[in-house]
Formats: sequence, structure tokens, C-alpha cells
Amino acid sequence: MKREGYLSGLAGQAGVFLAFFVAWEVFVRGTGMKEVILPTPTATFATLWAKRAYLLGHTWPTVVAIVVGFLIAAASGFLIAIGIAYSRWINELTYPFLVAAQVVPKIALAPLFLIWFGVGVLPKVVIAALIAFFPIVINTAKGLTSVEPELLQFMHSLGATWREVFFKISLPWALPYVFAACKISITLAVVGAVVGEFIASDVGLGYVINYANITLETKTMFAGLLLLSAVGILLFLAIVLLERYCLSWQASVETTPETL
Amino acid sequence: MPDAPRIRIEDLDVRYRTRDGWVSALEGITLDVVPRSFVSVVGPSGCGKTTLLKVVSGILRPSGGRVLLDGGPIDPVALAGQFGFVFQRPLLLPWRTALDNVALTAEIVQKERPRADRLAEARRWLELTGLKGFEGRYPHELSGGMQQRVSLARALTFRPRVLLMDEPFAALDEITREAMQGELLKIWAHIENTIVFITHSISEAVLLSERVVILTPRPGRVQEILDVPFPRPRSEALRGERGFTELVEHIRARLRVEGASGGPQG
Repeated sequence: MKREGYLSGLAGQAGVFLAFFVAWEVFVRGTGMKEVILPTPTATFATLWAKRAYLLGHTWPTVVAIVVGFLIAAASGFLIAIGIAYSRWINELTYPFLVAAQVVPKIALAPLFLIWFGVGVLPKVVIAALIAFFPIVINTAKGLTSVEPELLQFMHSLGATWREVFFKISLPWALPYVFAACKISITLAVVGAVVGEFIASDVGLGYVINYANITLETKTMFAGLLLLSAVGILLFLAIVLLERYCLSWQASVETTPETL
Repeated sequence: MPDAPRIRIEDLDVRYRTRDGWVSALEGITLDVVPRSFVSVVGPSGCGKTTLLKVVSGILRPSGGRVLLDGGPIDPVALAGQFGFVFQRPLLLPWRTALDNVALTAEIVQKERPRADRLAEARRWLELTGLKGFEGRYPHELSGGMQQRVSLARALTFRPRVLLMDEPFAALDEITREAMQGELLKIWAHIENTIVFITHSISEAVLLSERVVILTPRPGRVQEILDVPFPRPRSEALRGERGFTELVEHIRARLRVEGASGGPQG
């Protein structure tokens, strides 16, 4: 029963994509829109296939920038969250600054990073990391501090060390929060890396999209966009799979396997 | 001296600070709890019952008076692992199976003991609490009553000297609650722990315990300490006996008088 539900869920999800592409195709053909304004999905997929070597060659640098930026954000966010969760001093000192830093639009800093770091890998990794960082900190800190105080008191009355409490109780308790944050952050890292490539890169899908836009090769631009969303979806799925593996005890809690 | 108290509470005061100044939660509590005995504390909500448990287990420092465990002061470091807790909610770890949840406490208290040994002991307690066959289930796969049994097994598996229960059955439905009371009576026959049991159910206190301590509402003071004369082992059949009903009525009257004159009840 469950397997059937899962498969029909997948079929439904594929159906939504298909309906979207069909509507798009019908719209473009029906309105007679010019290819340079909006190419049909069939033309886009044809371009994707024709230029596959060029496009895939530019996909890899973008993936690296997203993943590296995300990992930096996850690692540093996690450590700072531990500080915030366990030290009132760190919490009160850093929280206002974190919020202030978060409201600065990181995308607007991209031109500055071009000046600081030049053209290359660094600016896009930095933007991706900065933009992905905040949800990790907030969620992890929230997860670590949401452990039931009575349970902690019990553990302390047993003589549990800080280490035992952290690894046996608090960390696993916070993991669902951490994964929820990672899912948001990985998609933000995609945005960050692409913005970096718009401004300070001569490789990557962001560069391809920007360049195709300038040269009015709209089909290539759309092909790049499709590839970029495919990358984003795959990275998101990778986190979902990791989450399923780490939180396998939750497996039977979930009633709708199609919700990611 | 066979009756040397396991827990001795002497003239205990607990005050805490609020925006409106100092509030007294417990005042002049004096109480001895004999080893292997079952003592219930009843009182209206907000009379400091939970505060009393926290002081007894060393989580909270008293403002005045003292608490002794087997004649020695309550020192959180030296007394690590002497208290088992059961709370109103089971507070199990959702990523651990029932068996691993029970074994958690022994993992911390009895590190030198081999793991297989600890698990065997945990399995034994699950069996005693009526959960044989559910060892591999996760908490969310168990009913509320079953979760509370796991919680009880977890509190007993490392053989603490004292078992502290803070309204453990209050969140259960009435049928499950009565079944759990019967279950606890059965388990009590097998264990050597001293039990301090907090409840606001009068009949529960009379059915389960050998002594009932009645507290007054804010600040909590000892109003009366009653001996419950029914012999061990007890069973749920006790509920129908005359002496049982009389005791329940007596306690109810005491709580009502105090509630009427003692200001608002929470």
C-alpha cells in the first residue's frame, strides 16, 4: 500500500512538471511569441542537448561553489549555534549582530566582493556561504535549546557529563531542526553562487545565463536556467536522503512520503 | 535502628524571587521517609509539590532547613545516580527504541558495566512493566500508557535508592490511569526502592502509598501526615473497601477546608 502511494505520488509530481511544460509550449505557440523573448520548452531542450558539452562544462564550477559555500555555512553556523545555545553571554552578544548582518542584502555585496576577491571562485563561495549561514544558526540553536528541561535535570541528577548530555540528548534532539535548516540553506546557496557568477566569474551557469542574456541567446539562457534548477533539486534531494538516513527512526512517522 | 530514615527533611523553606518580591513556595516542611516505603504527597495545584521533589533530589537548593539522604547531605556530585525520575510526560528519546530508552540511565550511571549486561537488565525491567515484545518499538509506536511504562522502567533499571514520581499518571485517560496504578502496585512488590509520589488524585494516593502527606496551598506546609493501614501486597480490590473510602473522604475534607480558607487554588 505504502509503495503504491509513493509511486502515485511520484507520478503526480512528474505530472505537474509535464503540465507546466505543456502550458508553456501552448502559450508560446498560441501567442506567436518570438524565440528571443520566450523560447518554447522543446526549443530549450533541443538547445540543452545541442550545447550539452558547453553547458555541463559550466555546471561543475557552479556545483562546487554551491557545495563549498553551503558546507562552510553549515559548519560555521553549527559551531556558532552551539555557542548561542550554551552561553548566555555569546547569545546576547552575537544575536543582534547576526540579525543586523542578516538584514543586509548579501546580493548587494556581490560587486564589493569583486573588488575584494577579484574574478574567480572566492566571491561566489563567500556569497553562497553568507546567504546560507543564517538559517543554520537560528534553527540549530533553537533545536539545541528545545530539549525538555526536566529531562536535562534528570540526566544531571544521574551525574551525566556535559559531553554525554550533548551527544546522547541535545545533538540528536536538534538534528531534525538542523536538517530543516539545511534544506533552506542549500537552495539559498544556489542563489548565492549564481549571483556571484553574474558579477565576478567567467565560468559557471550564472556566467552562462548572464552572457546568453547579453548576447540575446535566450534559448541558451533558458537551457542554463533548466540545468540550474536541476542542480538545485538534486542537491536538495541529497539532503533529503541524508536526512532520511540519519533520522530513519522518523520513517514511520511520515504518512505522506511525497512531502520532502 | 531499622527505621533510620532514607530521606529526612528538616524544617525546609523554599522561597523564590518574582517581580512582586519574595514568594514562599514551601514553609517549615519536616518529614521522614523510611527505606522501602511509599509516601505520597497530595495538595492543590501550585502548593509546591514539584518544588519539594526538586529539593529532595538536589536540583534546587533550599532557602532554609536541610534534606538528608541516609543521614548525609544532598550533594549533587556525590549523590549522582541515587534518584530515578518519572514525570507527568514520558519524555522519552524519540530516536531510541523502548529498550534503548530504558538502558539510557544505566549507560550514564553504570558505565563500568558491560553493555550486554545493561541491555539484559533493561529487558528485564521492560518485562516487569508489562512491555515484553515491545523492546524494538519506537516511542511514537507506543500508546501513552506504554510510554509511561518505558519511563518507569528507565527510572528503575539502574536501581536508584529513591524513585521520585511527579504526577506520573495525571496525563493518562482514566482507564489507563487505573490500569497503571494496578501495575505500579504489582511492580512495587518486586522492588526495594523508596518511593516519593506526587499526585493530586486522593484515591491514587490512598491506594498506592503507606503514608500520605497533605500539603496546604501556597505556601506549602505539612497539614497532616496520615498512615494508610492496608497491608502489602495490595491490589485494586482495595478501592471497594470501606476503610479506603473513609480515608479518601477524610483527606478530601481536609483539602477542602484548607482550600476554602487558604485563598485561591490553581
